[in-house]
Amino acid sequence: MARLTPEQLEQKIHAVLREQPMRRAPMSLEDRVLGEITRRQALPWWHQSFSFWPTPVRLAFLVIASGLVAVALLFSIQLMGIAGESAVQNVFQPVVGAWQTLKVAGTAIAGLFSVSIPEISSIWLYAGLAVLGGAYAVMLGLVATAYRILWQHR
Amino acid sequence: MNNETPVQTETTGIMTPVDFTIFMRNYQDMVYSTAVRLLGNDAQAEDISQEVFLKAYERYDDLGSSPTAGGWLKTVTTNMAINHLQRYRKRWSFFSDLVHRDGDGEDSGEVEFAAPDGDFLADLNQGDRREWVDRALEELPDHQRVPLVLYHFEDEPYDEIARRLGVSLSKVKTDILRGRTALAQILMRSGTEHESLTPQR
Repeated sequence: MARLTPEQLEQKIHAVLREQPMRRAPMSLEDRVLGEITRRQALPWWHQSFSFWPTPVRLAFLVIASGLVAVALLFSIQLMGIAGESAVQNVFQPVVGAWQTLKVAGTAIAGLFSVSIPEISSIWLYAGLAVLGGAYAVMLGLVATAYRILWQHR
Repeated sequence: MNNETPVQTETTGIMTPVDFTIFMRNYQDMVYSTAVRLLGNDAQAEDISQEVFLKAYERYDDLGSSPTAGGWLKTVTTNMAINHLQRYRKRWSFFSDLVHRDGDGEDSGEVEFAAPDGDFLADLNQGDRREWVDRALEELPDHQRVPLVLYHFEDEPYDEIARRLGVSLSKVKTDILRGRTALAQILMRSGTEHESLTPQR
């Protein structure tokens, strides 16, 4: 039975381990990585991580999310009675102002269109919108059904 | 680095930059070695290596031409392997129990075991020696293998290992010492039985 001090043992083990060559990666690793990259690239952007979303969508998402958080926060504050209704309204004043501006701009653009385009009855306008909405819903339903029948069970 | 013919990406229709494939071939052995030594399991090491390269792909614009890419890959591999062990292996949560149960040795005094006269496994050829050491590492329990690998392969100091694993400095020293002892015993046993060595892989 030989006895080694911890220092001697450390040196011996260190020498044995450090002379070990690197392990070779399995040949399947490269295929797996490239296959996974391809699979992820094929996903639509909304199934990918946030960093892969288109820039306008990311910005819109940030704006909407921030707005929702602010609304929830202010609503909670008002509910808990920390701040009065007028204080909350004051906070929302810029948002309401921006909304009014957008509304005015929209009315102006609509006025321009009404001048350049022959007058269309509002019934026809709503009917057209309804047809468009219906067509969109039907298309969505057909695609979803086709996906379920033809693709999902492959 | 692999010497065999590289896998052709065209056959799978993969739309990946050729640069990234070359990048991966340059580093895959290093990443896999780091993972398999820490995890002691080939399949899990391959999973972790895959995740590491997927992360690298997301940052490839920065990493592709960076001289520190190797260091980044090694750090990420080490972190992911340790996270994997901490998250998925129940044994990790029993580490402290193990210390209380058999942690009376600390790092003082001498370690007794049947040491060979010369080098461990001196009469084995390089291929068999590599195989035995790999297998011996795999036989070690996680709480000994991980700090041992970090200390001897990654040159991390004791205090850094303790911080990384979230355990005390004395526990790290004890685990590494016990790991060395266990490894030496496995290697000596292997050395005396090397006639019966049959490659597993």
